[in-house]
Amino acid sequence: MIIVEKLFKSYRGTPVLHGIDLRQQRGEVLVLIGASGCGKSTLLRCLNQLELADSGQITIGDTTISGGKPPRSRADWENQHQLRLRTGMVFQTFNLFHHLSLLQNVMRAPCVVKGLPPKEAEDLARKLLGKVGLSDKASLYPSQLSGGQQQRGAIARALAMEPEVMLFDEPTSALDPGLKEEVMAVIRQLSADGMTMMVVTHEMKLARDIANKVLFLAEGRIVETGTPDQIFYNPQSERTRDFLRRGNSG
Amino acid sequence: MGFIRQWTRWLGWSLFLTCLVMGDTGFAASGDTLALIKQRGVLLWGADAEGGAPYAFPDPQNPGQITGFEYDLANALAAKLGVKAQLVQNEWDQLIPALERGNFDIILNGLELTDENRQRIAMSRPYYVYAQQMIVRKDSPEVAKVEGFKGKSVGVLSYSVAERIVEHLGGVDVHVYPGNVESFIDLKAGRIEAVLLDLPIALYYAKPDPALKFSGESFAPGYYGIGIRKDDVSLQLAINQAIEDLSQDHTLEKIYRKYGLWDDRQANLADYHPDIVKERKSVSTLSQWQKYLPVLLKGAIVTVELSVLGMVVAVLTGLVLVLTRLYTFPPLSWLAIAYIEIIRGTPLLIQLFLIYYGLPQIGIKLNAFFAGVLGLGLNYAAYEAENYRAGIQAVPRAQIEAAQALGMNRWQTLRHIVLPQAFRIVIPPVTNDFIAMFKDSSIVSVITMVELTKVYGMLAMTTYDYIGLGLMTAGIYFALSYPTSLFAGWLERRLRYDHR
Repeated sequence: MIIVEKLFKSYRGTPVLHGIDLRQQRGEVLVLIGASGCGKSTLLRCLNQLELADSGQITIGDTTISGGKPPRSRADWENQHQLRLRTGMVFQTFNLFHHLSLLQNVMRAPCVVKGLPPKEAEDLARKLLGKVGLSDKASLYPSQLSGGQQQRGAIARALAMEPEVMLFDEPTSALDPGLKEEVMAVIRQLSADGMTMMVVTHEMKLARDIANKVLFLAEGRIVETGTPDQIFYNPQSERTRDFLRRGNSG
Repeated sequence: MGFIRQWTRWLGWSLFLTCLVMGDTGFAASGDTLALIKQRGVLLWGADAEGGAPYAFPDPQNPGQITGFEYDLANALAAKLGVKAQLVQNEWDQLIPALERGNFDIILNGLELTDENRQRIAMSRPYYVYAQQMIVRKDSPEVAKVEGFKGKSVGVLSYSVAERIVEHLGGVDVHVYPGNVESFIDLKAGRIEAVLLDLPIALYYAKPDPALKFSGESFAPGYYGIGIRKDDVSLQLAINQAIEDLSQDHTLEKIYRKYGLWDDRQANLADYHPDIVKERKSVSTLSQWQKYLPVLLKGAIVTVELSVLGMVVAVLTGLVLVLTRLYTFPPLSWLAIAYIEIIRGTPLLIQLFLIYYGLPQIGIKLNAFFAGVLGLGLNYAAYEAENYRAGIQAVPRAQIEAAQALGMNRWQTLRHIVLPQAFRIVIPPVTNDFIAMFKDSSIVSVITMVELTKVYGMLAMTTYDYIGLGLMTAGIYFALSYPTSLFAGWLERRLRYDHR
C-alpha cells in the first residue's frame, strides 16, 4: 500500500530525514512517535508532497514519485496530483478555510477537484459531518467553532475526497485536554472502520488504542519498529526507553 | 461639543498659519507698486511660458532661455522704467487671480482688453492689435465665415475671446485646449474640423505648417493690454507712457517684425479709446444655486463616468498585473514589475499627454473621454496591483497548504481560497483609491474633458464667486465619495468571517 524507500530530506544543509524505509499494508494503522524535530511531520508532508524529498522513492497504491526534482512535465504534475488524491491530510492547526462555512469547507474540494455536482457534494458533506458529530454546525464558520469542532470538521473535509490513506499530523497537540478526547474518539472510529492511517502523535494512549505498528523516530531515522506492546512495554533501544521515560514524566 | 470646539480651534490655527504664509508673498503687495519696483530694481511680469509661442516661450535652440515678442517687450518696458524684467511663471487661466494675490506686478501675456477683464483689474493702453483667425486642414474646403462652422467641431483656447465667440454662436461642438500646440495636433489628427484663435498664434504655428491653411479673413479685432492691479494708478500711468514711447520710437515695430507679427493694424494702436466700464460685482452663486448647481452636476456626471470606468480598467488590469507578477516566470513577471514601477514613478499628467497627444503620432486616435478613462485606469492599475499583492500575500500559508493537500491545483487554490480571502483584505485600500480617483479625475481637463472641477473653474472665472461655487463643488465631491466609503464599510462587514 505505502512503500517508502531511502527517503532523504534536508533544510539548508541540516538533514531532517536520514534514509527512511517503511512499508504499510492496506487497513494498517502506523503511529509515528519521537521528539520534536525528529522528522515525523516532515515525513508526512513528503508523503503528500507538501515537501519535496531530496532523494528516495514514495509509492502509494500504484503511484510512485522519486525525490530530487520538482515537477516539471505534465506527467510529473499529474503524478503529484494522484499522490495527493490518494492521501488525506489533517493538520495540527486544523487549517479550515476561514471564509467558508463548515459545510462549504467539506463540499468545496469534491466539487472543484472531482467535479462532483453540488447536490451530491452536499449530501456527502452532510453525511460526513454527521459521522464526526457536527450535523448541527454545518452553517457555522470556523471562527464560531471550538478547536475540537474545527479539527473534527477538518477530518470530515479530508474524508470527503475519499482518500486511501489518512495522514494525521499531531491532530490533538493544539487542543485543550477536554477537547482532545472528542477528536481522538473520531480517529478511533476511523481505525475501527478499517481506514489506512499514518498518525503522528504524542498521545501514548491513542497510539496504544489504534496502532498496528509504532515507529520511533530520532534524528531523521527510524530507530525502532514494533507493536504497541513491544514499543511501550519492552523497548529494545536505549533511545526509545529514554524518550518514553521523559515523555511519560512530562 | 468638545469635538467641535477642538475642531474650531484647529481651523483657527490653520487659517492663521495660512494668512502668515500668504502674507509673505501676497496681500502685502497693495500700496505703491511702482515705488516698490524701482526700489527692488526688478519688474515682475506674470506669463505662462507653457502657453506657447510667439508670446513667451522656451527658446527651442536654448530651452533654458525664454524668448518671444512679449519677452522682448517686457525687457523694453522695464528699460523704460529703469529696471530689469523678470518673468514669473503662472498658469494662463489663473493669471488674474495671481496678480490680485500679488505674485507679480503686471500681466503681460496676450491678455485681451475686454470689458470683462477691465471690470476686474486695471489695464494699460493696448500694445498689440490682434484678430481672430480660422485654421483648417490643407485638404478641407475653405470656410469664409465663422458661422460656417455650426454643427462642426472647433478647437479654441480656454478662457479666450475665441471661446466666447464660438460659445455665443451656438451649435458648435467646442473643444477647449489649455495650450497653443494641442489644438493643432488634434486638428491634424482629425479629432476636430477647425481651430479658431488669435492671429499671432496662427501666424507663428499654422502659417508655416504645410498640413494647415488659413480659412477666411481674420476678423473681430481686439487689443492686448497689460494687466495691472486696480489700485496701482501710478504704475498704470507709467506703463501707458512707456508703451507710447516704445510705439513712437518704433521699438514695438522692430519687435513685432522680428516675430513676423507686424501688420497694418499695428500702426493704428493710438486709435484705441477705452470706454468707461462699470464696476462689476461678483455674483453670489449660493443664493442662485438653482441656476448653478445643475451646471455643476452636469460636470459631476462626467466625473462619475470617468472614475467608474477608470476604476473598472484599473481593477481588471491590476488583477492581470498581480497574477503575472506572482504566478508567472521571468521574463513575463519582470514585465509586470517594470510596468508597475514605471507607471508609479511617472506623473499621471505626462501619461495622459502621451496617450492623448502622443499616440496619434503612431496612428492611434482616442477621443478625450476614452483617453481619460484609459489614462486614469492604466495609472491606477499599478497601485491596484500592489494592493492585491499585499492582500494575496496576507493569506496564511497554511490555508494554501490545506487546499493543495485536498488536491486543488494552483489555479483552483487561487480562485477558491486565496482570492476570496484576499478580496476582503483589500477592500479598504481599494476604496481609498476609488475615492482618490474621483478627485484625480479632474486632471483630465488638460485633454479637453469638461468635468466637475473644470466646470467650477469656468463658472468661477465668470462669476468671481470662488467661495460659493467652491463650497458647492466640494459638496458634490463629498456627496460622491462618502456613500462609496459607506458601501465599502457595508461590504466589509458582510464579508466578515471572523465572527468572534
